[in-house]
Amino acid sequence: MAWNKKATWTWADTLYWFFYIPMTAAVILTLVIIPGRMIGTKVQPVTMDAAIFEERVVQHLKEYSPVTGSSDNMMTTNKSMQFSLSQKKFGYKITKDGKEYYGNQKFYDIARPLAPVKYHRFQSTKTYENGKTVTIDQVYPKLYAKLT
Amino acid sequence: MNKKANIMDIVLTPTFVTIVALGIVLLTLINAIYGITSSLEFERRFYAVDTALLLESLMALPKEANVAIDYSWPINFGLNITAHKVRVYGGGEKEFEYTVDPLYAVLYKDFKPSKENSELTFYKTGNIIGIERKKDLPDISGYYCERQTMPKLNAVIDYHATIETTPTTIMTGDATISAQLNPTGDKLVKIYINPTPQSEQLACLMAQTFKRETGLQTAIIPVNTNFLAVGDPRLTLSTTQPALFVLAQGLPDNAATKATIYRSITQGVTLYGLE
Repeated sequence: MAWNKKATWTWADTLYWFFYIPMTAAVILTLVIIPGRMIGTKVQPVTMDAAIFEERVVQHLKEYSPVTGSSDNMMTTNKSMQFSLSQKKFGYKITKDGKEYYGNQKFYDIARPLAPVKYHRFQSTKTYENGKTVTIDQVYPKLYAKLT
Repeated sequence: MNKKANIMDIVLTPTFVTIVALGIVLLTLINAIYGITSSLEFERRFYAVDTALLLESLMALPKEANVAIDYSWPINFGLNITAHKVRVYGGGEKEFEYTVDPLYAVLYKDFKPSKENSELTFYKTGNIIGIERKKDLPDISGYYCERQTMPKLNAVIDYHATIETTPTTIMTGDATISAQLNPTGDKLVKIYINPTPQSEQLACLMAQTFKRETGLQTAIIPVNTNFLAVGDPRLTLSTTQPALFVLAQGLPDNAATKATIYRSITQGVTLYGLE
């Protein structure tokens, strides 16, 4: 009987130190960390970012005169398709006149086959009034890695 | 005695420990909840992202659009714009990055947390994207100029020429530029051009330098020389090569003004490129 009583207390102590206390700590940490993380991940405007970049490319390629302004024709002269990229994780491929222009090509090549499972992919084609077309293919991570 | 000790061991000690533990848990939770509700981290992040996207949106506008957007800025935050990066600071900091179109120049700025920054204005004027306090907003009428690959001009600038109230030739060769000062009329620089892409580009760059050097309004006006009367100074535009006639009006007839006009014209030519 005495042995049984001692064994019961041993179990109770074990449970107390190795189960209840770690579990309490885990619950507290969860309650403290999760809301903060949720707030942090709310500001991830990937879709808006992609839409803005797409419009930038479309405008970038429009024929322009300082006298008459922009027209809805794609400019016929060669124009640089290089944007000055930051460390923001995204990549693109722009196809114009049969030529391909890449931004962050390394990231694009890795991410494109993994979309839409691991990455977001946004594709669009714009046809200008002079019949020329541009295809914009972008890939973004689900969450911005560099968002500090 | 043993019985009492048992009661202490079995009931009071665990109860005390439990109360202390629950107290710690409760205090931690209350502190965390308070931290979340009073945290400015979300706001800092929001403003960093929103500012970066707004800068990118301005670069997505039609090229000829000059725009000013008023923005209510939280006075307890500072804003720092550098190459590719927006940083919001004040009690902590958050950053977000933006992509730059090399055709645009983003003016870097730093606004420290201050009541004076409650109203900021984001603006696009020509090829320039900037942010300024609303009260300090500059004149946003400006020309956007494409940087197209055009052949450089094989022309000669007359460095001894001075701008007069009568037409003066400033450049000859592949392109012709004449200029005249007219002290009467509204303050305005009219750049008359013959309708060639090179003339448009040259006039655009010249309009930008006029804006920068003098702050004056400029107008680029294409001319059909067939409708000009004999003796009109703009008849110098009747050529297939690039040709411009600059008429600076409403400005005082003095040496400083003439020098500024001359400098603006030659800087525009230099931006275009001479062989």
